[in-house]
Amino acid sequence: MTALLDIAGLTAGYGKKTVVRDVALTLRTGEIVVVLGHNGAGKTTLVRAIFGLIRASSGRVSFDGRDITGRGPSANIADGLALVPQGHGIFRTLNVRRNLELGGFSVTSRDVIAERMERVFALFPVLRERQAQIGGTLSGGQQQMLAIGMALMPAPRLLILDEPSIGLAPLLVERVMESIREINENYGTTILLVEQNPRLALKIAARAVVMNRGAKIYDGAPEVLADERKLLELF
Amino acid sequence: MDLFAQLLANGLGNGAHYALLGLGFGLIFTTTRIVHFAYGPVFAVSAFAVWLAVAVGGLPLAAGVVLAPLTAAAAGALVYWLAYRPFERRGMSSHSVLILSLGLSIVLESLLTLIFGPNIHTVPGFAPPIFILGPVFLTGLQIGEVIAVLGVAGALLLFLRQTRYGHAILALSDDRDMARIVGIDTDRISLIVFALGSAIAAVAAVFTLLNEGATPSMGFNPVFVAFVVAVVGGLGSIPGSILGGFLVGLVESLGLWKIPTEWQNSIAFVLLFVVLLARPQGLFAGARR
Repeated sequence: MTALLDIAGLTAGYGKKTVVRDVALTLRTGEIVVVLGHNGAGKTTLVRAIFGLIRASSGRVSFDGRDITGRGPSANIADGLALVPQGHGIFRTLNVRRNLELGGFSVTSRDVIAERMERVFALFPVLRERQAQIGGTLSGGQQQMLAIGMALMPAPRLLILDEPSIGLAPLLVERVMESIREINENYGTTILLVEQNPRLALKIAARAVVMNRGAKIYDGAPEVLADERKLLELF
Repeated sequence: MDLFAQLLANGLGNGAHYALLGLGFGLIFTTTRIVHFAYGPVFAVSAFAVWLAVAVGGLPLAAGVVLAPLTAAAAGALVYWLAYRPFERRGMSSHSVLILSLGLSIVLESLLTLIFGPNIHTVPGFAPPIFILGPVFLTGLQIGEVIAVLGVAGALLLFLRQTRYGHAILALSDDRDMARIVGIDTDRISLIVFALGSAIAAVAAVFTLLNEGATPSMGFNPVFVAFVVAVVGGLGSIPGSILGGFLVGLVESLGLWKIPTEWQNSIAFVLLFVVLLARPQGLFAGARR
């Protein structure tokens, strides 16, 4: 097991406001790591800085042994990162098929696009039925499946998901977590999962990280956090 | 009845002109969210480029005309890259960019006046063919512009639906953040959109040059017309811009039947107010690309 993602001393924020302070984090290939924390703990800022949507003010991010600090999303996607952002990670005025094609924007071969789309349809059969439907008219759960499907189109080695369970009914949350586990098992995709609600996330994660006020305050076995009292202590 | 037929024909001719203006302006606004007032001077620059090539350079008109979209595309792209983009990068509000755009428009227009003077520059020796259909007089330019707008709109639709860059433009106009997340270079796409939208305006500018000649302030009215057309038709809708353009053209022209001439320019704005009151999203907002 080698380190796929290695972050050291990462500090990032918006304008003069620092949101994430001096965070270190290592993900091994094939691992599922969950990042927990309150609203405003800096989880979203952390993943946006890793993915290159915002510039880190200091620190270093390396992926597969290469320094990727300060690079933009398109270069990162080409290297094997993908992000499912918080909220609706889809194009709401475009249909399901076009959304998936755009998810694979970095892929130039039409054959590869078609093949990857088949993979997504195998994972989420409902998307195949809804190919021609406009994204914004799908149900919340279907939109989240589409968002995950889009992120899978470039066949990432590291899939980052920012609160994919937000706003979903409990049954759907379970379904989404199940598909994340499937992606990890079937394709060996390393997963960095940001969650606010720890219960289900802890079931699929090999390791848990807890953030508070922009800093990492726990990094270790999820079982420890499954203990109610320990969890309360940290939150 | 003869007057009505003539006004109808004039309305369609003007409508085609307005539709072209709205199409370019709407494309730029929906994709980049920038209210591009400097669209006016870019429009004028492209007309002057043709005038220079033909009246000064002695090029045949057909060759000079090709220069218009090329010059406009370059000028529009430059305006985006040198003026708007640095502001966007610093996270300035859309209001600041709006003021910048207005200021830039005034500066560019003054620059054109410095270079060419305030007089009208016409293309020497050009007279459009006239067609007489019963009671109606039509110029070749009127017919040409209707054909031009249909051709441009068709080509634009094909481009947006069938090409990789077209898809990226649709993605960007839907959600800028998502566009970056799937790996679209949003700066580059904005640049392309500015070039494309300006080139569409240049098609209309050529017709203005041939109809009336070029002046440094020739872009002033077209920006406002473009704005009205794009809003009335429904921002982001290509069929909306076309129908909006023809609607404004027809209402303006047919209005002359009953309303004194000096009100002609106000008619478009009255139409804008009425549409905004009744249907703020624009008349054809449902008709997406």
